[in-house]
Amino acid sequence: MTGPVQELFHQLADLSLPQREQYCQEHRVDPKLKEQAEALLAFDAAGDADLDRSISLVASHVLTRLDRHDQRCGPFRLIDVIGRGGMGVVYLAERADGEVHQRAAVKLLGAGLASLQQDRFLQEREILAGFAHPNIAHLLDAGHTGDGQAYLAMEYVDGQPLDAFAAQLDDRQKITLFLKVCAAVAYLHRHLVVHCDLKPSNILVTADGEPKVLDFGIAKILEAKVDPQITNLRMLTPDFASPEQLSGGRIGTTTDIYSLAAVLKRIMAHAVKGDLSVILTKAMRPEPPDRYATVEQFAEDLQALLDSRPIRARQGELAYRTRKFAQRYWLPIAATALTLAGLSAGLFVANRERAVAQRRFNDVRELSNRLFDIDVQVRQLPGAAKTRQLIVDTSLEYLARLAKDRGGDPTLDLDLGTAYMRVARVQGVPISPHLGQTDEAERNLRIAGRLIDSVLRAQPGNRLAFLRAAQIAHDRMVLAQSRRPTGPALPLARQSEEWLQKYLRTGSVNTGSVNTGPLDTARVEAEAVVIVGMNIANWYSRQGLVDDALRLLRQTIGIAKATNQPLQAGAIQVVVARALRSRGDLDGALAAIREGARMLVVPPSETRYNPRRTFRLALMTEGQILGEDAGIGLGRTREATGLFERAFAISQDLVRSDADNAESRFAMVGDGMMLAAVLRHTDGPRAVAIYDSVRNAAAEIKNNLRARRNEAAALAASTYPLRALGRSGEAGQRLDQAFAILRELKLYPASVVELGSEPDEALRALAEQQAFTGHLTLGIETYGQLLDKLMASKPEPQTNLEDATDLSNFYRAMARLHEQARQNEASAALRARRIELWRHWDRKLPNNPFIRRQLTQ
Amino acid sequence: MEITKLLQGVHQGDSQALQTVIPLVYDELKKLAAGHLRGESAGGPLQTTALVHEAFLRLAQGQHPSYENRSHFFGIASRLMRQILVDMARARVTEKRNYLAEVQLADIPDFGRRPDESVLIIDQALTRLAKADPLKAQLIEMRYFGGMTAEESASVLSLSVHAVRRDLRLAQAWLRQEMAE
Repeated sequence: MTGPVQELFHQLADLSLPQREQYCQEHRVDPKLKEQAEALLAFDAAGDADLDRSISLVASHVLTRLDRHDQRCGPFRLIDVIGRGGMGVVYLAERADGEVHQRAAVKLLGAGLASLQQDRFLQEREILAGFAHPNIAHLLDAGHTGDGQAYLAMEYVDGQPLDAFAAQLDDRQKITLFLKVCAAVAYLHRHLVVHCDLKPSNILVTADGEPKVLDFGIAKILEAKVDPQITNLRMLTPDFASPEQLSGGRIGTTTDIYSLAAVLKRIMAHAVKGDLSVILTKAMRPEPPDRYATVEQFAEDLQALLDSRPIRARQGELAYRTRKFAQRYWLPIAATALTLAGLSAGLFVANRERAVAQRRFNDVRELSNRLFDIDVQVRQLPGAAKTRQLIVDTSLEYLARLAKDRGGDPTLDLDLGTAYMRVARVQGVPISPHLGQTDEAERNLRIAGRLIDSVLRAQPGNRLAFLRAAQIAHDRMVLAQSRRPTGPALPLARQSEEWLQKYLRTGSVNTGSVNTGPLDTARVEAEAVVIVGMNIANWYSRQGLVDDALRLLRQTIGIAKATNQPLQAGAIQVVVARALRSRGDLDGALAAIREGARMLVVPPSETRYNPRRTFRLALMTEGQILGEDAGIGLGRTREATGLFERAFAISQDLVRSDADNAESRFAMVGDGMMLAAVLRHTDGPRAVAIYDSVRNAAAEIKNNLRARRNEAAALAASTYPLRALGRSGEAGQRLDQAFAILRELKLYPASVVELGSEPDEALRALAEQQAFTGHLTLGIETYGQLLDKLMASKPEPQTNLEDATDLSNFYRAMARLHEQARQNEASAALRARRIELWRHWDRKLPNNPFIRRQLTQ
Repeated sequence: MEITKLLQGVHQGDSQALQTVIPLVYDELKKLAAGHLRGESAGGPLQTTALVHEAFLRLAQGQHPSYENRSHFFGIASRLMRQILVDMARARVTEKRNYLAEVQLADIPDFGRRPDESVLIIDQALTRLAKADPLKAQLIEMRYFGGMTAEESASVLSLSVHAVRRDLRLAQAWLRQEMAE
């Protein structure tokens, strides 16, 4: 393998792309040879984390078998490893005394484990010894091996995991099978034992269809308390663990009900709808007391479902809702929450790149990576914030140590840069659930950026560094636009795209295989590319750079489809719809959003993404296209209201399930503001209530500028329905509060005010309040001053449809006040300016229904 | 005989020394693997590198023999480590119907392709590489199964460090390309 291709590889490896071209031209390299060398260069990744990682994974898996061969545990001889779990290694064993041929699953407690687990092991032995139920795996023997290790020998169940077995059954058969599992768990509960680790792999089904519940690994006597430590967390299976287990709350029988329901949900997949959906919702409520009180009740409802009788969960539903609603008003705020932040949150759990290996750092690095792995698993779960904070703190500690003696090695720098980026994302980049710490996030992104810069100085053609640079610029762009005053987001967006295109020019994005295995860095990269491309395009679109946006969206949607990422393709359609709407193509936008919503229906196999946030954004977007209040829409307000209601319900639910998650709150704020704005024309009291809850939701996000702005916006907007209800005194107080916040944030007084910003909203509300309370002239004056300030921000109503719409609304409102003051000339002048504006757009976009409606109003 | 002396013998072409040292290394690696697994019950990925290093330290009884000896030890160990892994994996892939084997490892996310299969894929790719270019295959083996640095490989193979790095880079790209297909 020292042919001409390889020679060329060496020649080209350290050159930049243009230099490579130049070299090939100067040396008249045969095109075919060049092509082969380039194909090989495409695999010249920066580090060797991928290879290293797959080999060590294999090692850990395969070498397990070397352990304990032929060892004796009481009467049993260990044959083979059949699993590893939180409680130690599990072996297939055979009775060695020759008396009877009997197989067993033997669990050995690891010698190096803490005494806590030793205690658990003994506890488990006690618990299991007393049990006899056809659907529970029996304890055969327990004791200590010659060298003092504790072991448990359990009935060996030769079966398939519940989910695998259930795949061949119809829905009825699945539920019938599941009811047997319920019976086993109910039996445990009657004996005061909570299983605590119910999941499909712990429920095996024998060939004759009998389910057996295994592994009472972390079973607890009811009174025991859970220790909310990370060691504990590692033993859980987050897909099936209840919120209280993850947050270290109190464990009870309802904990198992939650996990049972999660298991049922997994096996029923597509069929979760109607009554079953209601049953599962009740069984999986975040607060244990809201769930079924007993497994029997849960099972009864499932039986009722099979018998087509009414279910208990339905009866409780209304009461639950009412109670919840009265208890906590989760409500309203800012239109700004509907940004790319909401769009990407929840969708993009991508980015699980593993750090590159350099041996002397292995231990520390491995630990840091494991923390991220844990984070990826817990982030979607309710109550994860505390754990995530611990992960952030611990990771930073390790990273600081690594950075101290990094010594300029590009491989390590790339690694460190990646890790700092990931920490920043957990802290506060609103592209996935985060902790709302934007300043800390920005600081760590800058550190990450510097590290990647140094990689690129050493290796100017490093493909992975291109992608990292794109991701970091992207993250900073997202952060910049979520803070106020908005940072220099546009240059960051351009910068990010530039790196992204550089990355794309170094080779095509690979599909990867369907599975995301350790070898599959290609897929992880493909996902990162799509996220970055889509979010930048979204940003362009919001900046009115619609052509740039649609160009990048087309490129990105192509990559998403080619690399089999349907959910991302669906999300991109949402962005396309928003871009099309922003330039008045409402029919195109409606078609795009409906296609997008279809793609956002999740396949049951998809466990990594939680597309609810994106789905809710799709609902929201469809609502806006149909009829956002004072927005670019088709004027179908009733349909729009229904969609806003649905979106708001989802975002409220997201907030409920993880109260510490800032992004869910922002989503709720955005949805609530949008809903209240349409409702205030028909249902003032409800609109006020929603604005109040939005404000409260924002107030609960601490130390966050965006949340404070949202509070001000909700306060200002709520004055409209309050005045209509004759409560202008309250309205006045709220305006004072709104301005107090704006002053505190140094957003007011201001000589320049942007259209649609919080000071704009607050000043408009103030003008209306002044007019309403008899100070008409003052109100007109306020509007006049605001107009100057708005114009100072250089809006582009001639080219930007949103600006045109905002300004048009402004003209109309101000004209109305002039009219009330019988200043007909001034009023007519404003109306004329408004009509002139829309005539301009009518020439620009002939026969556009939205523009036509503006002209006739 | 002391491991340092054995390795010296290996270095000087003593085939008897090699015959003695291989089972020693093999046993030590196996024992260590078992010990590590018991200690690490939460299931973190096991570093072959760490195993090889530890085996070395134990066989050398805590002493720090010469750099050259160390390199030779790693050279032998990386070959054996690959052998152990591949043997185990091969045995494993043939008994796929055991569903229980598929459970667990929940603490390692992204656990896609069955690991046993991936080690075989790597092994096959390496075998093909060895036919075309035995030296590069050996470099990969030393790096990934023995955890050797470029300097250590250079010392064992009497090459320049630069040549090792250069060849390793090409071999890595080649291997990835091969495995991607």
